[in-house]
Amino acid sequence: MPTASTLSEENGSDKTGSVAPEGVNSTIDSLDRVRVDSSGQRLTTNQGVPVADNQNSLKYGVRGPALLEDFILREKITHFDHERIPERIVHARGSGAHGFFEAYEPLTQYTKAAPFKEAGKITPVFVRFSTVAGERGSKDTARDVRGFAVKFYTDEGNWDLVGNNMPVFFIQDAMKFPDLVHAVKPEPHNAMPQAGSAHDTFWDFVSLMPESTHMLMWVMSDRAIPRSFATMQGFGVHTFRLVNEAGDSVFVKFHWSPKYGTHSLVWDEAVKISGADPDFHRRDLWERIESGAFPEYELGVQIFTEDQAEQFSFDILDSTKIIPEELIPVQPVGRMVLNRNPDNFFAETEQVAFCTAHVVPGIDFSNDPLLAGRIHSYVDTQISRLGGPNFHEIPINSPIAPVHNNQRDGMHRQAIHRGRVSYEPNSLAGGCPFQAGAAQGFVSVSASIQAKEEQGKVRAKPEKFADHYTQARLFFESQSPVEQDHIANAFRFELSKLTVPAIRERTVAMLRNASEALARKVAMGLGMEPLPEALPLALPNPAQPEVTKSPALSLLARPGDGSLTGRKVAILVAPGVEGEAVATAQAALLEQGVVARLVGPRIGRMPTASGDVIDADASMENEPGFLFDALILPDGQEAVAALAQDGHTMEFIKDQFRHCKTILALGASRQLLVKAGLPVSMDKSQAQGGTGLILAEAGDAGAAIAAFIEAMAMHRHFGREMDPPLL
Amino acid sequence: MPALNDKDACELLDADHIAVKHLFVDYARLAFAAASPPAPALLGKKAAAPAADRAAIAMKICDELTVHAQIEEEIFYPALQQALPDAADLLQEAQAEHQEAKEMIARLRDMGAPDAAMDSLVAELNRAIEHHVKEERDELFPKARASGLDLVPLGLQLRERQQELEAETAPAT
Repeated sequence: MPTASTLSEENGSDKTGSVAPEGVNSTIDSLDRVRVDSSGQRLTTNQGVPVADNQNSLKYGVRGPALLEDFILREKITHFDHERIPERIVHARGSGAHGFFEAYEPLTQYTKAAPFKEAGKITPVFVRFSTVAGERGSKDTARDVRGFAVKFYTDEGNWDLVGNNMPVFFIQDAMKFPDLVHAVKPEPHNAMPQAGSAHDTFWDFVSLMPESTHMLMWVMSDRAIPRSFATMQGFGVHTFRLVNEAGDSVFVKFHWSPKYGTHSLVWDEAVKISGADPDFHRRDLWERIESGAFPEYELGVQIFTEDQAEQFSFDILDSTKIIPEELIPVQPVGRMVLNRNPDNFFAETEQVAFCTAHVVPGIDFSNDPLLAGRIHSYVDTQISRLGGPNFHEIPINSPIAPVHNNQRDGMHRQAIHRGRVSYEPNSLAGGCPFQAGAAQGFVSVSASIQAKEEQGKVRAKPEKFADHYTQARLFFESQSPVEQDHIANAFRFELSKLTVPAIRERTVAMLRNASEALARKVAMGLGMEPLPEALPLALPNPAQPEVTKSPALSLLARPGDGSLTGRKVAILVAPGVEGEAVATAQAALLEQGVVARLVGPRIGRMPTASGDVIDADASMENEPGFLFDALILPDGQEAVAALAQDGHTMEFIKDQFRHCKTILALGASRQLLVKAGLPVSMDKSQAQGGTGLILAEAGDAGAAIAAFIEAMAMHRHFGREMDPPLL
Repeated sequence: MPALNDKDACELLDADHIAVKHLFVDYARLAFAAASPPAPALLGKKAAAPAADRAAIAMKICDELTVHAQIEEEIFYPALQQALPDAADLLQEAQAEHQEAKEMIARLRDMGAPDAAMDSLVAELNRAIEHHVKEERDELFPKARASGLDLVPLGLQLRERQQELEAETAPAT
């Protein structure tokens, strides 16, 4: 072979193997090559030496000193001491899953990218969802952007679509990224608050950066507290390019839409969940996948030409702007299903390295200056986090496409490259690996740069970047009244936490440019009177927007398939419960893909009214009401009496009621609602049928449960939401 | 929940507030579903709610608010005016807000089939009513409750007038 390493390579052994197969890089084999299963195996050191005693260190006499020569103890302790790696500076808190992407139809008209080559083509993916600000062990339900990063293991290399669950960002230029992150992270003197933006430095920064106004609308909306990773959208954020075989390119924005609808928590609920279950989203993702209720998303693209982009009232290179769907519709091009949990959190979810620089032939960048910075930053940070330039060889990161180049050495190198040649061109290795050429290899789009004066080196922005408010207004105006309330309340909450009044005022002054109604409402909630003067506009006369309302931006426009798959219902139980109705409810809910848990004053077996036995699998103390999507209160006088004397029951009902969830009270349990303090003024709304409270007479469980399931499909019943809350 | 006639004046009026909020929420749900982008291909066709439902809800909102405003103006506000001389400003503001709402209601009643204009106007009315409700709940009701005014017979009086007016506005069957 021309690449032969040594004359002696045919002298094989168990360790060396023999001669390498020609043209193969074995490090790209599936993860099976590194999976470890220890069933039936003895304990060894890292060197494979069997360990006789894993209980006692080596000592000079049973009461004597431990000995330095104890290599078994020292190896164990030393490895333990070095188990941690630096956490990501942002997106430290994450959860991952394996799955696949399936193309609907060939997209070859626009792109030669491997995943879109033919209908039904399957590409393996690994996805990592994350919060941004919190540290690795922080709560899942913080108010925050969620990372939505997808690694496509394509036939032509790895493509990372490193997105978020919001289509815009706080800043326009990567130059401001460290400032933004320093501002939102825990404050440097006291490291508080953890996983929260409600503090002075964040609002100080954003209120001095009016370009953040649009993103603030998204982050203060319910989008920032998703119900589940399976019920949030994803976006590529930046404008990218699709490039076809002929080398023609169009611009593209990527959208992921969840099959199960876009649904969120409410703030009071998110706060409570973070105490009772900080792993709420991680657990939800894990349980959905383990139970076969696979999260699924449709990939959509907004495709437009450079000429179209020229006409828009905004700049498509500006990451603080969306392209309204009314202007460029989103075309569905495929779906992604997450169907396998990682075997090992550290090896996969922690060590996975997403980089915006990872694109494949057929995908290319735009000149978005934030994207430019990200193309550098992600690779750079992995080198530090994963200990060197060979992080691409960590099994979760290695592509399934062949890898051959002359990059060599570095910390933790896995590959054993044969031969003398680590350069190109060469003759000694027959010219291999040879460059793929324009026909097969990645070719950057030759975006034309006109020889105009303004194309010289500048540190400046295009004029349209200075329109900071038009799209913030568009977002706010496109929300339903309930969503607008939630945005105003979120601003009120965050700003109420500040210790510097001037920052509050500056923020309200900024909001006045986006929505006078919102600014007034926020100011009212802060006892701020009179309103501060609106901030001066950077661009006094921005271009007329193409649309002033885009209903597609409301969560209400995205109910998904309306199914209840993956939702959780609590059925309260206690000794003496009417067992048949409980069984009927459980069966009906299971059929809908809903997890119904029996929650009692304690866990364990208890007698039913008819003398059977049921088994409570959670207690109210352990699994409080706000962890469930809906509630069924059981019939049975004795059970109701037992629940009525337990204060947890009232909290359970109160939270379910306040968070506008569907509640079914069977027979005698109606009195629990009264005891919990449901206001008498609910009755008129109840008579109109809109409160999501279902009061069933004894013995009518079947019909009541059907009505309950129907009401659950509405997600929430905000008709009972008042500010401040009724209960 | 106890029966309807147990409510005092504030509770009765608050029942209206919650009931109309529910109607606004229902309206918005239908309006956004109608205006939403086509459902993703994998979800199949979504069942479109009939536009007539939206118009019917809008008219119900108008009817409910008209009766609500009238009983407040005829009975509740005068009673408070007497019992709470220092609430004059609040009551004046409340009446002005009623006037504003009535104008929007009149415009809504003149609209035909539900469209984007109706959606916007209903949303605008929603925000105006919400503001009004918040002031009543946060400021006026606590004053009324603290005033020593007997709210139970006042509630009864409101209810009787409400039923009368509802009978008048009920569509002939």
